[in-house]
Amino acid sequence: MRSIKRGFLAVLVLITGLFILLSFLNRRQQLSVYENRSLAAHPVFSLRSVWDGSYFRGWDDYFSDHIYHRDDRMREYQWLRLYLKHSVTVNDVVITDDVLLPLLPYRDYSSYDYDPDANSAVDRLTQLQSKVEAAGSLFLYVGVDEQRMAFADRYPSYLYNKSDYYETMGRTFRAACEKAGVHTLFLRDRLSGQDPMTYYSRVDHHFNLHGAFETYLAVCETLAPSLPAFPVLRQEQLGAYKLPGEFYGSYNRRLYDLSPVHEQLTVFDLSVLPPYERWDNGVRTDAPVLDLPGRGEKVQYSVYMGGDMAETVICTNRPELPSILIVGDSFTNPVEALCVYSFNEIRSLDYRHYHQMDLTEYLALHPVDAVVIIRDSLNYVGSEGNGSLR
Amino acid sequence: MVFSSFSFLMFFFPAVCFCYFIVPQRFRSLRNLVLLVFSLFFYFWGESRGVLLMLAVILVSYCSARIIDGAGSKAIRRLGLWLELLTCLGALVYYKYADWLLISANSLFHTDLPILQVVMPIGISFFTFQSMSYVIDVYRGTVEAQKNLLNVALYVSLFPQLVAGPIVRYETVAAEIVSRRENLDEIYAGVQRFIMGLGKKLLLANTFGQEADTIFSMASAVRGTPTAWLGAICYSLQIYFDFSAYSDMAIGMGRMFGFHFLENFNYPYVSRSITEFWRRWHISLSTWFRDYVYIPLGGNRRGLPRQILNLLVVWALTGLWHGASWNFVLWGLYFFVLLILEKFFLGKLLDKLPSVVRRSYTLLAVVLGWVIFYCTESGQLTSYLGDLFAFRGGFDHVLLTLRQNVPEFLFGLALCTPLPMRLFCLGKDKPWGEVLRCVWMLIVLVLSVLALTGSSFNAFIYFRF
Repeated sequence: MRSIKRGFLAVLVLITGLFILLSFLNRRQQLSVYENRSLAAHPVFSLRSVWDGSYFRGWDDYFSDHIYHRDDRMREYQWLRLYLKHSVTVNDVVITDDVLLPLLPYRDYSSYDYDPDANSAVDRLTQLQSKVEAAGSLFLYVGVDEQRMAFADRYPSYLYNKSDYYETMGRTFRAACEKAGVHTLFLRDRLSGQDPMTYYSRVDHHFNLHGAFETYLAVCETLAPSLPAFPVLRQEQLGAYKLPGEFYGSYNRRLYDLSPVHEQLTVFDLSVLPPYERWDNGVRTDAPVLDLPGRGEKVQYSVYMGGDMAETVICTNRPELPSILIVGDSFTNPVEALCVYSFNEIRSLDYRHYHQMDLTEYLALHPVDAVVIIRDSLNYVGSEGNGSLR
Repeated sequence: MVFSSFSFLMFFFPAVCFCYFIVPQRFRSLRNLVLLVFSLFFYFWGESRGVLLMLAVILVSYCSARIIDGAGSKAIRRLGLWLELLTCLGALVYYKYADWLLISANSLFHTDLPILQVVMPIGISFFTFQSMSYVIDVYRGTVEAQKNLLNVALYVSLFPQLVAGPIVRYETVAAEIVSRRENLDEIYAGVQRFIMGLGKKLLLANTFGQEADTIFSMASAVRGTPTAWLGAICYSLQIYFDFSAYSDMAIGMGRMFGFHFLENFNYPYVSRSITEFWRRWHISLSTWFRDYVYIPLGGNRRGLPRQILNLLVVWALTGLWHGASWNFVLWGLYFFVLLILEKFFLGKLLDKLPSVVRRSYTLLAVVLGWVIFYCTESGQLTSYLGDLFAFRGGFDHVLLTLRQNVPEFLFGLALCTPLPMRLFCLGKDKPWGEVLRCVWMLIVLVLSVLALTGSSFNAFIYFRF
């Protein structure tokens, strides 16, 4: 009996010791692709950080983030949850047969007053529209449904899809925009009655290339009557094709390569675009508008435009064509790439990262023919980042 | 630092074990010193500012006990006792209750007293209670004053029981501080207990806690009655497995280092009355209040009205000990009422009822008690209690929660009874039984490590590297 106990303790010490040793010797991983974040760095010693406890909390985070083959341990844990426990939600992702969605916390919106948020957002929009028009540019606000809204009916009946809030807020916001005379365009009008599977990603919170293309078309059709003539891409010119390998969207990425729902990212044929020059954050770059992954690299949404940039300027050297400024977050990325076909100069600002000047100052310095704000339905009334409408 | 963290499991605990066991057993003082240094470091890691307070409490406790021990007159002995009580209770009142008292006074008397914004040091309720019990016992003459300051420091700060109990009496470990034997059987049993505690915390308590938090944070309109009951049950399971897991880990680590702490939980959810429940739940706290508050107040020796008053004081204090909030007081008084009812009326009735009815009554009362315990705001409490008895709402969320957590509920409910432990002890003296236990422990350990890793998942949608 004693030999069994001794053997167990020896095995335990050996396994634990080896695990600890390997964790310390392990080549330090800086990023977690699955979590889309930087892993905790070594805490920096200072008397202040020791005294306020942040030094030791930093070590807690560090140990937690740098155990031996953390991604593998994560994957094993997710496997247990997905395939042994058959969990419907894993890492806050709702798993349905054909689409992954975010898990949303319950909240009662039955007595929620939507007007103040909507009116406040529309006030900001109205002011911005006046400033843009005073600068001699056309103004257009484009609203696109976020993926969870497009697939709201795919949530299991026992899970909350928050559509009571999103739908009412959307309606209130649209009504307030109409009343205030804001020039708007809502993609849902164009896609109404069509299968959202065609236009939205099944594993990511964005639309797919076809959704972006419809947005691009809608923008072009709306702007065309008021701008000098410009070419518009046709569906058959796109040459859309699927990239090999799994698309790592914001939801399936959380499932550590174990997602039962799969998707390949669709891109268009770059050769359809005219030659262009590009500047990111003021620096000249040769980066193409589609950052196609190399062999072994993960396919992510950042394929479009190479990901989010504070400021991007693309010049096609076709002065006869109009220029456009697109403001918004990552929903704008594939639309910007498509706009290269139609416009002489394409500027894009992402006010989550761009802090140098507000839109009026920017337009004074870089006049354009049209300013297009693209916002997803979750952020219609948000005042942070691109919602600040500075 | 919590036991269920990689810092503890990968860094602190292996380091303390290595440094402790590398010292030969005959150098007891040196082994104690290793434990003391690591215990202070353990506390410093999680509460750098609070360590000075703990050291002050240790020093005062040591001096008080020495004063009492060496005093010739009763007055000086009393002085020593008061010094200890004023220090410990003063620290407790200031750090734990001052802001709550000020906020309550402002609300009650419509005053505008400034709030002190005091940050409460972790574990203050435990180390002050341990220190007081030591000095009171010296005062009563039930234990001798410890001559070595380092030994008092070790008793108060010993890391396994420092931040979450159990509240260890000095008499329990007095002899073991100076003379104990660490051997294979003790270490093995300690490791086994620790792994079980780790599993209970990471695999059960955290799961139930997550579900309970989700349900308690729902708006009343979407919660409904079945979901509200599920939330209350999940929270009841969480608080049991969380707290008893920490006690298991503390007792287990204590055994590895040769200490034998008393049990803190004894299957409280199989109790057949509230009186029995409190003999099985957080035993170290209920016996502390019995021995250091109830009996000194006169217990049941001074007539019925005084006994009821004594019980009222004890249960109000028991509630308040759990936190500086009125809901804890209410929770304590809730049990006071139930215990009084059982003592004078309900108890005799319960005795005549079948066991299953008595257990159901106890569970129902305890689960409702945990709802009071959870809801720190009166609005939240009334709304939740309303949902429990509103008889509305569907079973959708209940089904989802049950479906997602089938193993947790099965193991959780089973582990509330002594049955799994009986199964675990099958073949106790047989090699096959021991091998099975080893395999089981390894499975629990691996699953716990995976769950701990999984709990560090922290995804960002909008984030650039």
